[in-house]
Amino acid sequence: MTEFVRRYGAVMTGYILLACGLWIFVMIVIPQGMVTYYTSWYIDRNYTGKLTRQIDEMYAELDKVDAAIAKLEREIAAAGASAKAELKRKLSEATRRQKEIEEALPPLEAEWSASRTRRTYSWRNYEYLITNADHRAVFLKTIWASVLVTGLALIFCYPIAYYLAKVAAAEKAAILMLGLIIPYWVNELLRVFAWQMILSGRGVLNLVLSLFGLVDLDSIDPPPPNYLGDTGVMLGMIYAYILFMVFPLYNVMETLDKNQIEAARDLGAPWIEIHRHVVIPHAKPGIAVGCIMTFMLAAGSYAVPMALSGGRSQWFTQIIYTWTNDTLDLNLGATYALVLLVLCIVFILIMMRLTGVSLRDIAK
Amino acid sequence: MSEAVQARPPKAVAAARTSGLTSAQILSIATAAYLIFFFAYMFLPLGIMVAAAFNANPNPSIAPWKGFTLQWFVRLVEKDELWEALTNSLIIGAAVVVLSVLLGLAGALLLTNLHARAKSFFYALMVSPVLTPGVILGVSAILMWQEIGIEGGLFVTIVAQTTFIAAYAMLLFMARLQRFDATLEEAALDLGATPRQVFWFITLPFLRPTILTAAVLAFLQSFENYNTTLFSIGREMTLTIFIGSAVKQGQEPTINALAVVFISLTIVMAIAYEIKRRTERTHMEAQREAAKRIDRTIAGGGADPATAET
Repeated sequence: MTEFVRRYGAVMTGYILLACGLWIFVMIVIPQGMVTYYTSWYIDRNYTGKLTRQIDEMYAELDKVDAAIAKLEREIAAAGASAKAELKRKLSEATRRQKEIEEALPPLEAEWSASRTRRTYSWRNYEYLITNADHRAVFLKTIWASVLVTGLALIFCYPIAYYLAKVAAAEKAAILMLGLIIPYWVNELLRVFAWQMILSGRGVLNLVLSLFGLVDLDSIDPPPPNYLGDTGVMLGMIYAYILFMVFPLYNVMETLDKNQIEAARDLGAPWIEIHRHVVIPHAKPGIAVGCIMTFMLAAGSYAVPMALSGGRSQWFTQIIYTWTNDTLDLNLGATYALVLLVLCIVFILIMMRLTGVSLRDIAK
Repeated sequence: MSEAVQARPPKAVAAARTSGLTSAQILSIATAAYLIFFFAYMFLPLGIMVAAAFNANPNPSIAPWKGFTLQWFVRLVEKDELWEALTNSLIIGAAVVVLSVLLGLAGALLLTNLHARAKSFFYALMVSPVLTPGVILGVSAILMWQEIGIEGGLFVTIVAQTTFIAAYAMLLFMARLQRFDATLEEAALDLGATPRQVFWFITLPFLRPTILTAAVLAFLQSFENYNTTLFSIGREMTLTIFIGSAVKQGQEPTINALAVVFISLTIVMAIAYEIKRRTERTHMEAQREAAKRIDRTIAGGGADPATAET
């Protein structure tokens, strides 16, 4: 600490500590803590609803009692002496009831308004996700779909990364890199929209198929068949996130000494062995980073399902959005978000274990 | 290389002679096919999207072609929400740039001066937002600020975006600081410079190019961000939210017109980046050449220092 002050001076040290403190606590630790806290309680809306009904019933009864009292008072004024005693007894009974209700209402109303913000601590949020078969299925789909997207992206990207890093001449590689950078910089939403234009009912795919007579666009209407849904979403995810796989792979492969490949080839190793024993071991950090980024983006993607599910498939992020923005059950929203985060952390740990790569290498 | 070829077992050489050429040809054809397929896959969808922006067809599509038009561009600039969204995006972007550079620099300076275990711990903590889905960053920010009575909007979005963009900036600064010669600072301190002078005259000038890179990167990240913004923005509008709702509704090719603008800007930026990279490389090569020449002069004319000076 004193070393720190000596080197940077009091002002700079103050700035560094303040900035890092703000960042770590206000942006990382407290918000994540808040998410975890929100998963631990809920607001019992059923209880509030029960109180609402109870209060409504009591007001209805009060109206009746008020009317009865008014009627009895009129009757007493008109009745003879013999009937008066009986009516007066009834009146006092009604007045007693009226008083009872009037006394019971205020605390009940106070309880009602308190119950609207009262936090009940329980496992209800987690139970909700576990017991809701639809949401459980969507969560499981998110896992396997993201794994599938990641795997396909890796298979699809590996050759191009290798080609750009080790095979292509420098000049050609530079131009091809430019060809990757441009789509990489185009906004995710627009890239997804491009796929919507291909896969939707009146999209390019159906037009091409209709040219070959495979789809008759005129007869099937409305709506013409289209290819949105789970498959469409996964196709879109591969397209949208594939470049997050290419660049990490390319970066590590570029640092591989070409002589190692040459040596292996000269010693007679077939190309598959060269990749298995030379290129892939070297590229492990890049594979880990590419897979982690792609998985994280696919599992956390909102734009792709929004544009390409065609309303026919539901995804986990969409449920989170419903909780936080439509239904306004922030506790369920927080719980679902935390579960998604845990999924991503588990995936990162598995990748780190599989590739033997540390977090330090990943963040490069 | 030639020695290595000779060292091959004779069988392998023979095999390479008979089938090597054809398999090499197959490989090169396969590579070319793969490259064409890959780049077609990357660019065809974008091309279709761009072409549809000029089609008079009121559905965003390239067929049926109903004639060339620029009306979707006109319709686009007439939209008030677009300008409101753009303004908000620029405000958020500017704030995120300032915050991310400040926080990223502080984080990098802290981490480069920490040791072993503390360093790994804080490193993991500060880098974690990069590996967290944006959706979760948005949800966590909105929950925290709502708890103290601040609703979603520009402010919460700025904070939520900075959470992970500052981490990117920090990684850039750390990479730069790794190449920093700390003895320079030590020397200045030993010679009596105040820590402030050391920072302003030694550390900061060394970091200046990275500050610029980090600022550009932070702005682009903020401007393009959708996932985090969607959850933290509340009822406000940003450019990505505008695009998102247009994609959701899927009507009118105005969105295609916007895509054309975006893609054009991207191409211009990518080319500028490439040119910058090339001039830097030729500049570096020229420097290296000059250094070599001086080395040669010194070595050759070692007896006569006067030649080395010229």
